[in-house]
Amino acid sequence: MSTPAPPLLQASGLRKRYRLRSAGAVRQITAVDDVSIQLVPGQTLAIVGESGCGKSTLAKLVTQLETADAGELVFDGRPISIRSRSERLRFSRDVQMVFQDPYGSLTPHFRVGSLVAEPLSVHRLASATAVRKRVAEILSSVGLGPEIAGRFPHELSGGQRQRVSIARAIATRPRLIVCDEPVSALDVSVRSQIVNLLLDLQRDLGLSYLFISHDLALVDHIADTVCVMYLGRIVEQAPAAVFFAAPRHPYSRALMSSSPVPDPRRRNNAPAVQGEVEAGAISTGCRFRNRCPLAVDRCAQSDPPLDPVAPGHLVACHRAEELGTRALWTAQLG
Amino acid sequence: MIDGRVSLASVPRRPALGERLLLWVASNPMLAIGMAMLTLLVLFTLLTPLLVPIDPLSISATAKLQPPGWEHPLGTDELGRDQLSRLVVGGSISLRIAIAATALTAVFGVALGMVSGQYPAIDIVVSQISDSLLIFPGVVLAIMILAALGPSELNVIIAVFVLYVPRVIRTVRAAVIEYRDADFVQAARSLGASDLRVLALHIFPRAIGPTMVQLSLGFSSAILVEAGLSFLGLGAPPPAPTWGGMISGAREYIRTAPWMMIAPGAIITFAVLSLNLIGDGLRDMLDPRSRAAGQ
Repeated sequence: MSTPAPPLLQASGLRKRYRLRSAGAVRQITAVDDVSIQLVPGQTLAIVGESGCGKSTLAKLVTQLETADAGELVFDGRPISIRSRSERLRFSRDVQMVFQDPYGSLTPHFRVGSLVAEPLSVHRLASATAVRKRVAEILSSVGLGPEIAGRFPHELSGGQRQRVSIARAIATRPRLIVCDEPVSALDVSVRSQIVNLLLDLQRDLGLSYLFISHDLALVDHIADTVCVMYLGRIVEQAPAAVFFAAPRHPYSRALMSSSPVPDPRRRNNAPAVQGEVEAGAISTGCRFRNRCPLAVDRCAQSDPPLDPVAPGHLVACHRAEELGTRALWTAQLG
Repeated sequence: MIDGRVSLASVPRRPALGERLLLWVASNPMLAIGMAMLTLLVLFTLLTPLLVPIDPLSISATAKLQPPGWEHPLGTDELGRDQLSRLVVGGSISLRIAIAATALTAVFGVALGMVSGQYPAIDIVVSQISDSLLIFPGVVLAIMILAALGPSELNVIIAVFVLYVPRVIRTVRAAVIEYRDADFVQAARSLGASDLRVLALHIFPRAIGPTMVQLSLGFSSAILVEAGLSFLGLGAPPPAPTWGGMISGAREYIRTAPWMMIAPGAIITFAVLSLNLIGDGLRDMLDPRSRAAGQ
């Protein structure tokens, strides 16, 4: 490979805790715990995991909608610290976000034209006279006609709404777009259209994506790098091709076995995972051990660090080395 | 700002103006009746000086306590002053006070409500003060304020403002709190919009409806409070004619000259009714559920 390009976004040791008050008692939930990611310009980094694993919180930390309790974010070689309005503007011009719910994320009383013009006027990117023309250009680049500009969001279909969200996100010509499950709220029939639109825009505009999803088939289609999160931690991180060929972490395998494969001849023989995510259930050791089919004594004693098993492939599991060989899997499953 | 050009062929024919007006009246009868009544009232206070050019302050020893007739359509009071003229001038004083108080309430209520909904540190101060003002029964608080400041038109405005601004603050604050974590607000923030922009453009328009309802109800209460205060002698000082003052003065003559009390009583009822109808009508129009629940 050629010399690696400097990362566009580098997060190290991000941590975010929330205080929850329930029945008088204050509980702390660590939504994101010591997460480090790197995003190469022009590539897509996918974060996968069950709901409640901290994916969306990570997205909000990266877009600075939430402030991390610990850790550092470096964007394009500059540490991000939003202390003033001008820093906020400069950052949000480069980093935009597409939300999951296309019904809730568009201001209901704004017409589409105003929605797409909003980032232009916030960042003073177009004069009052040029706005209309620019909005029409942006709309056409997401496959919408200029007549859409006069409509209200509730007059549009889900797919059209998500196109409007994407139009709004690309209006400032950002370099990174954080997509928080951008197609999971859509009908299956329009998902692929939106995904292909995102891929086209990435190619044409040189965008990088931080792509939050729980849909492995989709991630396989678009991601360059995959990070699997479990209860606020990254448990496996690998180039997409490596990950989908040979996932190492038991949780990754479980995720993969639970996503349907359209091939009747392929036997689904990975271990099934029981139970549900329970935040705070485990205070010591590996947090996946209560659901892990391969857990041993060591897993209860210490939390496995995220260590490389191959170049670019990191796994947080005490048995990652053994899992590299097929023997253990087959032995376990008979 | 931006309006789409849609080909005209695809747009269904727009009903004629009269037709649309009828439809609207049929679907919002309370609002329509209330607005018609308020228009009548405003026209009455604006136009009658042209029709009845009698000085409301001019005293006549020969014409005192006259029943309604051709010369004095609503009769005269114990000093021979024309009741209709006094009603008209009193109405313009009432409306002036109510409009000024409502405008003040709108400006400060919306501004303080937005700020306290957005910033918890400010909210603690603003909410403590506005909640403690809400503890007092309305008229008692108004009497306290006027007793402290002395009776005058300006002080009545201040009293009504202090009475009603907490309700508007609470309404706007509730809307800001409801929407400040909404997805579309987060989206606006993430694209770089400032707090002020988010509040003014993305959140406040969602609160306009309930705020309008509060303001129209506040307006009618302003008229009532003003009348109550002038009845007690705490409103605009005599000889300025006020509705409340006229009722107060009519008490002694209720057996001999009942028209003195009936006319101002009726017009206060009319004014308050019209504004309450507008308030209820607005609420129904903006929230169809409350109409369904009421039936």
